[in-house]
Amino acid sequence: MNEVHWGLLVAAYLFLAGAGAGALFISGSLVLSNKIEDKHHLDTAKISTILGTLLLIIGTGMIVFDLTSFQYGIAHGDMSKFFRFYRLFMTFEPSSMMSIGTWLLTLAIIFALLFCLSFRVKANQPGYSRPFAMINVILAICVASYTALLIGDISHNLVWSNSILVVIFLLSALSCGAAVVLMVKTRLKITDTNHSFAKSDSALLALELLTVCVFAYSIRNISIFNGVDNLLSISSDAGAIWWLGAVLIGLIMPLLLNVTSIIGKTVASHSKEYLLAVLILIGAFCLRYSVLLAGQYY
Amino acid sequence: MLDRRRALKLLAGGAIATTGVMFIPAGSAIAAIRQQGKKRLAMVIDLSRCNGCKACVVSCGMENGTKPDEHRTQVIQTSAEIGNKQYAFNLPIMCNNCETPSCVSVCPTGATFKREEDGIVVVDSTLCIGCNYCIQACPYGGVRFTNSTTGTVDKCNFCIQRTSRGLLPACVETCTGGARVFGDINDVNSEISKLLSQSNPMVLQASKQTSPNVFYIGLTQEESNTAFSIHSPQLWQR
Amino acid sequence: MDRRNFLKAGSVAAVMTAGTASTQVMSSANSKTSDADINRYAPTSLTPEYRFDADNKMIENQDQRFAFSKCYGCFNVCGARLSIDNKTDKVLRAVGNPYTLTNNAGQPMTMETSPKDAMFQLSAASGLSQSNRATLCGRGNAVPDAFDDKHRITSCMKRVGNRGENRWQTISYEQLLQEVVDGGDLFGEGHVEGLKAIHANPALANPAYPDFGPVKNQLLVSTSSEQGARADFMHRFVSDAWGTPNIGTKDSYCGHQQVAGCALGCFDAVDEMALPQVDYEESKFAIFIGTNPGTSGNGLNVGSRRLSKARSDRTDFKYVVIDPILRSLTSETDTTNGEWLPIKSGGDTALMFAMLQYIINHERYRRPYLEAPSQASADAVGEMNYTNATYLVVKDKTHPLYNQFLTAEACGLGDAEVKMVIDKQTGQLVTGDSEQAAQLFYKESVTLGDGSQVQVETAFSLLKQRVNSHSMQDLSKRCEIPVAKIEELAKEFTSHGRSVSIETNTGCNATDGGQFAFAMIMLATMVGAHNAKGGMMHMGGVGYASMYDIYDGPLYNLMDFEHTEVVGFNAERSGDYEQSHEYQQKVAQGLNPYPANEAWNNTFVQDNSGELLVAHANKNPFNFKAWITWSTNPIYGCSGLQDQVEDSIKDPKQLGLIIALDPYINETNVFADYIVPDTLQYEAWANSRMWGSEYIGDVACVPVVESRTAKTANGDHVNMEQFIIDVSKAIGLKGFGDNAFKDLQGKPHSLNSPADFYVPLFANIAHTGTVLPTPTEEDIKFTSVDRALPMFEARLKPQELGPTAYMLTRGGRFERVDERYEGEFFNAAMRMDTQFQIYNESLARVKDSFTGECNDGLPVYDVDRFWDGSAVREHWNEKDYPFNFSTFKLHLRSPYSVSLPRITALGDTNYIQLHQDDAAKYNLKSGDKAQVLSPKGKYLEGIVQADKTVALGTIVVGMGYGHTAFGASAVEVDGTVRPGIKERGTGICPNAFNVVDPTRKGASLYRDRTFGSTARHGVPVGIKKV
Ligand SMILES: Nc1nc2c(c(=O)[nH]1)N[C@H]1C(S)=C(S)[C@@H](COP(=O)(O)OP(=O)(O)OC[C@H]3O[C@@H](n4cnc5c(=O)[nH]c(N)nc54)[C@H](O)[C@@H]3O)O[C@H]1N2
Ligand SMILES: Nc1nc2c(c(=O)[nH]1)N[C@H]1C(S)=C(S)[C@@H](COP(=O)(O)OP(=O)(O)OC[C@H]3O[C@@H](n4cnc5c(=O)[nH]c(N)nc54)[C@H](O)[C@@H]3O)O[C@H]1N2
Ligand code: SF4
Ligand code: SF4
Ligand code: SF4
Ligand code: SF4
Ligand code: SF4
Ligand SMILES: [Mo]
Repeated sequence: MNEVHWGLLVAAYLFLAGAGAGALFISGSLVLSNKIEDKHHLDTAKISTILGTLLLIIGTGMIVFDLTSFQYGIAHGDMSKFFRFYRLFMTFEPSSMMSIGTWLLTLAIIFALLFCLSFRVKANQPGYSRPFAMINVILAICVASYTALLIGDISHNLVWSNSILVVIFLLSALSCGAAVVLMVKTRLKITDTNHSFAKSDSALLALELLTVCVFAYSIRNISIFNGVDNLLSISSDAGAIWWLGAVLIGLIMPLLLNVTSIIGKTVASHSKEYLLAVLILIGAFCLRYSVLLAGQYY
Repeated sequence: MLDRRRALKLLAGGAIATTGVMFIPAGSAIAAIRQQGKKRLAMVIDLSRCNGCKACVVSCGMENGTKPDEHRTQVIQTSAEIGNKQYAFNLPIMCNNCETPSCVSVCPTGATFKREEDGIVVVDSTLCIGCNYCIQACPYGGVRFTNSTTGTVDKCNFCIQRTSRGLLPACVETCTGGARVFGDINDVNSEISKLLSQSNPMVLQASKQTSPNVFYIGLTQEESNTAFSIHSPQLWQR
Repeated sequence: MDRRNFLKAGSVAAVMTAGTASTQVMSSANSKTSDADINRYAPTSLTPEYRFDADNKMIENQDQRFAFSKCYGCFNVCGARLSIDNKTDKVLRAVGNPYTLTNNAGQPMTMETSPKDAMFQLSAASGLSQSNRATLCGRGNAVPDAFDDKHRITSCMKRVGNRGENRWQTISYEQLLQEVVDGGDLFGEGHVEGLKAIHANPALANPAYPDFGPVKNQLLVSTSSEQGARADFMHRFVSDAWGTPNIGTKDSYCGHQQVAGCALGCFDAVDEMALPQVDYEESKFAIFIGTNPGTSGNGLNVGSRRLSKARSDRTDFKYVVIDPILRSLTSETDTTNGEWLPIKSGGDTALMFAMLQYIINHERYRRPYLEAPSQASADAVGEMNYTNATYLVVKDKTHPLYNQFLTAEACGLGDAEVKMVIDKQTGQLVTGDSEQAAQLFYKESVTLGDGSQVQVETAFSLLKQRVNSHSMQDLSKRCEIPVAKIEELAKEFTSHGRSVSIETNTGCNATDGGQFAFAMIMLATMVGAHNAKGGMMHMGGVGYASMYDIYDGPLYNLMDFEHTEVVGFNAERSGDYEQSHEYQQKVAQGLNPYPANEAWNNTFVQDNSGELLVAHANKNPFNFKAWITWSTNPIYGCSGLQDQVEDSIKDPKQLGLIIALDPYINETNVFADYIVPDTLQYEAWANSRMWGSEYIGDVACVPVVESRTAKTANGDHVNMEQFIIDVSKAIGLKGFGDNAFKDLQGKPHSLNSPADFYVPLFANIAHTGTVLPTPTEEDIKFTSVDRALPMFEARLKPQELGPTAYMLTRGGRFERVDERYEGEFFNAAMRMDTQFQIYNESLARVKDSFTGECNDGLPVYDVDRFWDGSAVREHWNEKDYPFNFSTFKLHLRSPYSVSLPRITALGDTNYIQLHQDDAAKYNLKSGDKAQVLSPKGKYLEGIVQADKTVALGTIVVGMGYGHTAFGASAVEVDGTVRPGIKERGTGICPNAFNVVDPTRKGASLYRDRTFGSTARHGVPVGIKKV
């Protein structure tokens, strides 16, 4: 019966920050690995970094749009409220995940930008990007898990305060990153001939599916224990989004697509790869949206 | 007794009994608060005196300038069955101005904090950015809300504009049942102190460990463990 | 010390004040919170009207002022204290007045307490117990929002288009005045007779009904009856200056039958009033039947707190609420002391009879009390009052005293005033003024003075037979309360001596509401609870106007002008049918005068706006020519009325001129031709008793904010009084304008403005009994009385000024009784010493206008019947209409609180409420839509709420929703449309739907059998799922 205070915009924030972090993680890893020697891997890394950075920035924008002070500023033409979010940067509150996140994202965005620039400055010396890649990989893990910690810090929340969410959000961020990278690759017309991408993606998705099911099961039990209807029951909005969006569209279908191409030993068509990526991204968004909603249902 | 709980669940509209069903008599919490020796403003609501008139709700809105459908306090009303007989259940709820508030630590700007001098948990409307994090963090559904006049978060602050000026909160002044009593629980001579020591006060959702400063007389254990929300639908029109 | 004892001690100490003051005061001394801090923490909150500094000195807020006024959020009329913004002249906040007994429980502050000190005592800074707070209810707190309501009427308006279309043009006050006084072709619909012509016409209104008076009786005035002196002002115009008997109020469709019914048990009369209250402080067992203290009637604020104190402070107090629906006060914290007992609507008299049967058959009554035939004999046995239980009723049909008490005159032992009893000791026939106990049971012949024999029986013996006329089972079935429960109630009620009580108000409103109340008083009489400590308090809610002649000195004789004689019966036929032209004609023609052509009522004068409109709709005795309606809303509030009369109101041919005086467009005055904007509470002069006060007390106040209404050419605000004054002057009526009244020295005074009336009236009240002292400068300034003082200085003699101002600085005059009790009883001031009636002789003389037979002197238990005596259930069977219908007043609503946004926000709709088992039979559950079906052919469609909190067999709908006016629908003014507000039109109103009496001719209302007042409960209805 609580009002839904955190809806689409916050879901978009969690999703975009996760996807951006995922993309940065993968591009960082590419740079750190030897693969970077490959031109097309280098291009993939570059573009993924840029995309990841953009996603981070847009994601952070979402949280600002969600601020009631910001919305009030727009609705009432009140500049002081419009710019009120600057308050976030006037203090560091170590007890507040939101404050930690603010600075974390700020740092992440700064280093992501530097990472982007590093490609440009010494375009042909990937080695130059390495330290930035290193930092970005670490920050990416922090950002991806932070999105779970932000809501997980609400300790009385039956849905959010579930530690497995950190793992789920991390895995999901990675698969989002992978999806972004996949799109980049597809765009660059790089084909996944020996199914190495499909294999690792499948493994990731399968792992995620497992954790997601464990989570859903624990929510069911928690719901029963607290005498409420299953907070992720398919009959609720959150449950429907969860089961159809996050699980079916975001995990099972991509998994099937991957597995069919691995088993069929066929190279996935570009359109199929786009589809795969889009499904994963939709799924990841649904995952966060449904978790947000379910946590505000009682 | 089971009956009563079921009736409550059916009608309170979304209220649930929560984890960690816990019986924490308010006494030990009060003792802990007193140990600090500081002025601690608090409210006692004697449910046996409350008749659900909602004068408190309306006066709070008038005094604090919230929109008619935005409430710092609300009275949950439903029926309860006890031993085959039907009774009314009237439960005023509001921000508990907790001793260890879970809303404060999460605030990224320091806009919401607990005042040293009297224990009131305030929101500084010039600092609040409206991220709603504190709303999520408070286990008491709806006691924090966005004041649509300011676009920032609002809540009961024990009518600080009155209580810091030697006056009583608006809801206390006009409580037709005389159910609400306000004062400093660290002043042993205050009415509220005496009331607390003579009765067996309870708080809502003690298991949430926020150590509320709103105490109830006549609350049952089940009710204390139930998560009521200010947004529960107002179905009791009687 | 356990908690209860502590609380008890606490509250006693609280009354003695200083005792419990805490040492560490909560003044600003301890708070360094700056104004700037507060602005940040509470940006939308008000700034307090004053504050207390470190030394507990009050520091006033220069931007605001403080004033006393009254609350008119409903008819309880509580005292209010206000904070007003000086710049905007807006009332920011309203709370209760601590001097009145209707806002406080326990002792109110004494009149000697200075207002500033009173405010200090109420503050946190004083550290005093918060138990003596002065409150307003939810509506009362929300009322300040009414003033700037967009749908409020502030200018003079004239109808555009047809009546009821809600289209208006604003006109000047002067134009309005001229048009309504002079008439003319005002709407292009033909000539409209103006008030002047109507008043001047000496012809009979209807030659076929010469006994209904001249044409000027064709002015109908429907008025508020709850605005105290303002209502008196209106009466002055209607009755004494203009002279028409056709003045209507809501009283008879509110619940006057219960008040009159209670009085049947208290006075040898049929037109008296009584409405005793529970003495919460000492009562051991209280029954509330047809009322819920604290949720509506008889003083919401004070009832609420007195009950809550009693139930939480005392272990020796129990109460039962007998009601078709569970209301919010029987709360679960109180399972040992309180209980809700569901009753099928309309079954109340059955319950009273069943309890009486048990009590009398098991001799659980207070015998010595009932055996005392006189005051002297009562004194001898330590009783405060006595009854006529032992009086002998003549039971010989042929004897002239049949069904009357045997008199000393008939026995040759004295005069007719003295009644006869049988001495208990000697068995001799003796006069009722005997100092000895008399026999309670006696049924035999006695020898009269002329030697003849006559059969007599004591009143009590008759009562015993009467209450045994139906079996316990039958009675139990009617009220749907098990026999065992009834016996338990009867036992409990007779187990605490006199310290028990039973209270009612308007809920028991079936066709036997009057009889119910009579029987209910009888129950209290059985144990002698009247005027007893812990028993029945009879002096509640009385004001100065009813206790003293406040219009007749001590300073000004306000009624000292030449009164107009009122000629003729009133159109609703409240009067003696046998005096009527119709009766006399029939007798002259040798016809049976019974039944009368129309229903008459000869108990008290109803002044029922509803019945007056019914007479109009029936053109019998005539159509009204003009209708002035002020601050009342019969179309919405009077059960059954709307469809009976609406067409006849809408038609300008049947009713030439309708003038409304009101701050709102309501469901009634929406049909008006002209609307005169009236003042809204704080803008108005007020002097009124308060419901629920125990002692004599009046709120009295001047307008404390400037009226929002338009101004006259003279620059005065338009309001009801100004309009009435100007109309009266234009027509040349006495009592207004020059020489309108005199002072005690015989000096004439004029009445040209509201102040000319209220200033001398206030002076009279302030000088009644002990003259009030003079207030200090500070009192006057603090309470903003200085703003009004010039009005008083201009009209009063200097020595009269102080006491009058003193009253205003306290918001009224409130008498204080320090010692509530005198031994086992209330003190003399709070007692209603009278002979309580087992048998009401006066009632036994009142004839039924249908049968021509006399009423019974004892309470009657019967099925519901129509005017012609046929049973309601013969017309409307159990199969089609298996339920009884009932209504109640929602805690947060009054009929007009719908204009308050903070009230509408607290409840979207009302419900069709019934027991879940009943609902299941119709496949209904909470949330479903259903129609309640009335035998009148109408239905009410709404949302079902089905649980276990409604009596079986009863469907309940709360009052205060289902509006079409008050801004619920669009209004067009000067071509611009003010759109309707959705929240104001939600829910359902039970009244248009409710039944009328099909055995009366033409338009009609459903009536109380004894008193003819409008009845609305226990009515057959059906239900259907949609
Ligand atoms: N909230 C509120 N308070 C008000 C007012 C208001 O409009 N709203 N108006 C004021 C006025 S004008 C008045 S007259 C008083 C009236 O005050 P009350 O008479 O006390 O109020 P009601 O709600 O009309 O009726 C009292 C109770 O009677 C019950 N009742 C209905 N039918 C029956 C029946 O057949 N038998 C029995 N035993 N009970 C029945 C109702 O359910 C209700 O609970 O209230 C005053 N105070
Ligand atoms: N079904 C059902 N019907 C009922 C009842 C019930 O319980 N159930 N209750 C009955 C009772 S107890 C009563 S008393 C009647 C009430 O019946 P009414 O007196 O006819 O109804 P109200 O609407 O209260 O009339 C008061 C009017 O005064 C006007 N008014 C409001 N505030 C002010 C003000 O400040 N100044 C001026 N000048 N005017 C103002 C408004 O237009 C309002 O409509 O209804 C009765 N009808
Ligand atoms: S009730 Fe909630 S908002 Fe109020 S102080 Fe406690 S945790 Fe904070
Ligand atoms: S909404 Fe305002 S008070 Fe609440 S956490 Fe955010 S900034 Fe702090
Ligand atoms: S203390 Fe003040 S802010 Fe809090 S609920 Fe009461 S009136 Fe509202
Ligand atoms: S004002 Fe008092 S009695 Fe009325 S609902 Fe609020 S707490 Fe209860
Ligand atoms: S009971 Fe009626 S008069 Fe009294 S405060 Fe409430 S609304 Fe005002
Ligand atoms: Mo009434």
